[in-house]
Amino acid sequence: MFRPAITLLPFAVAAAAVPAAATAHPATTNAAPKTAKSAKTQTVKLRFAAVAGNAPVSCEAPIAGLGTTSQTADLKDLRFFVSDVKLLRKDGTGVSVKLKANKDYRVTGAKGSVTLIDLENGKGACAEEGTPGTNASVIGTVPRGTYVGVRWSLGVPFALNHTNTAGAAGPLGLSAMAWSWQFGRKFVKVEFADPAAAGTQPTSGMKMQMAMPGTTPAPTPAAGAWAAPTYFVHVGSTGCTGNPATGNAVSCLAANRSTVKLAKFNPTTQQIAVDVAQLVAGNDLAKSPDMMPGCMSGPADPECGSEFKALGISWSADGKATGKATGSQSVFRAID
Amino acid sequence: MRRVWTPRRALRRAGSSPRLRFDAALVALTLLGGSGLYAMSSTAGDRDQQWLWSLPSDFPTPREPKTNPMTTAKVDVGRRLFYDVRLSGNGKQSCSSCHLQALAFTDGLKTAIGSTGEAHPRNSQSLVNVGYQSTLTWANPSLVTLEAQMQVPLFGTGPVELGVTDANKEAILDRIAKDPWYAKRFKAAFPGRRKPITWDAIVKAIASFQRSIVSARSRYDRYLAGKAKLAVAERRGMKLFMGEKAECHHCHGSFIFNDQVSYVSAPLETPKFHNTGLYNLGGTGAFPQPNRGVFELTGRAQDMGRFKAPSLRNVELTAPYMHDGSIATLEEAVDHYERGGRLIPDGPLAGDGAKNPFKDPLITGLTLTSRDKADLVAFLKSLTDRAVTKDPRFADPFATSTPKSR
Repeated sequence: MFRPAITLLPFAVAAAAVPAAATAHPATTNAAPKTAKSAKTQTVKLRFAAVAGNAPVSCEAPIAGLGTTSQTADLKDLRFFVSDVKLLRKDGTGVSVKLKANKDYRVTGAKGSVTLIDLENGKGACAEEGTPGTNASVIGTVPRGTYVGVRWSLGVPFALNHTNTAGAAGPLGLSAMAWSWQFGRKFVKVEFADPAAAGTQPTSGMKMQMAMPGTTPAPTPAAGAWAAPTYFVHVGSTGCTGNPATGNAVSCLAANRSTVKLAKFNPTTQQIAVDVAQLVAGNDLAKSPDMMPGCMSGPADPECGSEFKALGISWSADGKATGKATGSQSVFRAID
Repeated sequence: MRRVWTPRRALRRAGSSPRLRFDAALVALTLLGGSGLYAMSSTAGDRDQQWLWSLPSDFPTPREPKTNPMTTAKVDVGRRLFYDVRLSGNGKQSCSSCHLQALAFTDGLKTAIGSTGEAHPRNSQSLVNVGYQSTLTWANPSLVTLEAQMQVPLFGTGPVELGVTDANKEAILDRIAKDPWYAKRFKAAFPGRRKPITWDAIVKAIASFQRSIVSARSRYDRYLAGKAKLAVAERRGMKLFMGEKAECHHCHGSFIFNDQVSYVSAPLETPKFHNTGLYNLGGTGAFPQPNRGVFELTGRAQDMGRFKAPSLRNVELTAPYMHDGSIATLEEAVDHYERGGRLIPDGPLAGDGAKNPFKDPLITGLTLTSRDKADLVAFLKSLTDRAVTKDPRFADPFATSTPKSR
């Protein structure tokens, strides 16, 4: 016999399921009458919380102590896709969470399902590309049972990823999450802004190397203290190749989807911390050794090494990384 | 082999029954008095959405995505959208801002400038015959349809081009919807949709217009059709171009003078990209960021500096040249290939491109006389199709009707 970490009695299941459904889908509650089937499932609500170390973070207050040189930064964006969520039984087996339909933050369908976790509220430093709405949770159902942990894929499933943003459903239609240079999506979009450069620089912070000696203007220096006004962490599949005959993306050299596993996690009482300080712990936000400040998943992007390690994605400086999940990450953890 | 053009051969449509439109097209041909190399497609009226490809005689039928078959109504809507500055976030640019018809749909700049003033790292490419390109943009194996490519100028942020964002994209749709012309035509172009004016529809319409820009009415084409003569220098240049002395044909040998084309029942080939020795930073083989070609996507050493060979049709009009506009004239471009790579003696980009370890093995340097080089340039200029730069089917619809509403 084992002692379950969480035991949900049938009464508790029903009590948990009804309010969650009522909150998220007032319009559909009546359409899903209680049946014997619902008694066999329980609602799951995985709640994510943005933190730096132990402190909550938001778009509206600078975050201190980030990176190797302990920079203070504004949070400019914090969104990521979560798919293939499985709750773990005590014996380690995973049980798939069936997502509830939601047009703004979840996609559910034959080709796969995915949730956008949106921890920015479009205020403060997030005003530029952010949205007023937020979504901190993955909501769905699992067979009634006892679960002690959780596992998920950090990203958009391949079958949904390489599709047109224009006209795509729900979060896949967000232009901010479009990853147009690889005809896919940004799986993770975390951005920091130099508070000293606020409002002084163009969006991308991109600096141009001269195309020919002496013929192009020199790079525009940032007004703030950092080498570039924004520090980007954009994770997505790279090295993708389409098929001109069919118009489809057929393969990517590096998938760059992490598999995050929290072996000890109580989905009813605990939340999942997203620690932005851990994400950039190995880099200096004020420096930009290459043209693009931060890690944009480029296979030879020098800043990606420590961030991919923190996220649990294999990476090597020679560009030969496979982009497979390493199984070891430091950004997500269970908190009470 | 090149075949002589006939009206019958030119009238190929995507569907199976060309006869239905044949009479109308023949009338158009008669009206043209045989002066054009092929028929205008505008014989199909607005009420007839069936698209009739009107192709140069030796051009294959372009591919159409299953999800976006060509119709005259979509092409019409797409043409107006292509020229409509309301499509950008700040209302300052349209697709045509960087793709000017007079310049074979390029912009004459070294590298493009986006709607917010941000500099683009790459040179704007021609859109003539773009529907035949296997991949889009300068070095991106993942962008294989115009619909996919359009996500970049619409939504891209590094750099901002048209600057469509989640915050303004509904407002932009409202701008479009308020125009009665669009309100009527979108309904016709996208029948059966509850809401016809969407970003999906906008992308499909513009892509359809771009696919319609098929043209081959240069003096070279007329020469092949037996309707014009090339000058001695041009003919000599052609032989050099097609032969093993200048070897241009290896990468510019297709019917649109590049080496990656896609069309109905084309053989399946992996699109090719080439490092032509433009740079060799510090002798490492590196190209300057963010212009390292396919390497930017794959990180594989062998992809350093690999870019697409552009179509050389209308190359006289598309200066400056190369992915970064770093070669100003055709004469300089020929010099570059003669040397087998560019030498940059000093400055931050110093290095001998001829010694770039990732250079394409075909770029070995050439032995050309000054006459050879002049003749090559003369031949390249015979590829200029002035008709496409003035063709009313591809022209700015705002230029004569309602310029103020732009």
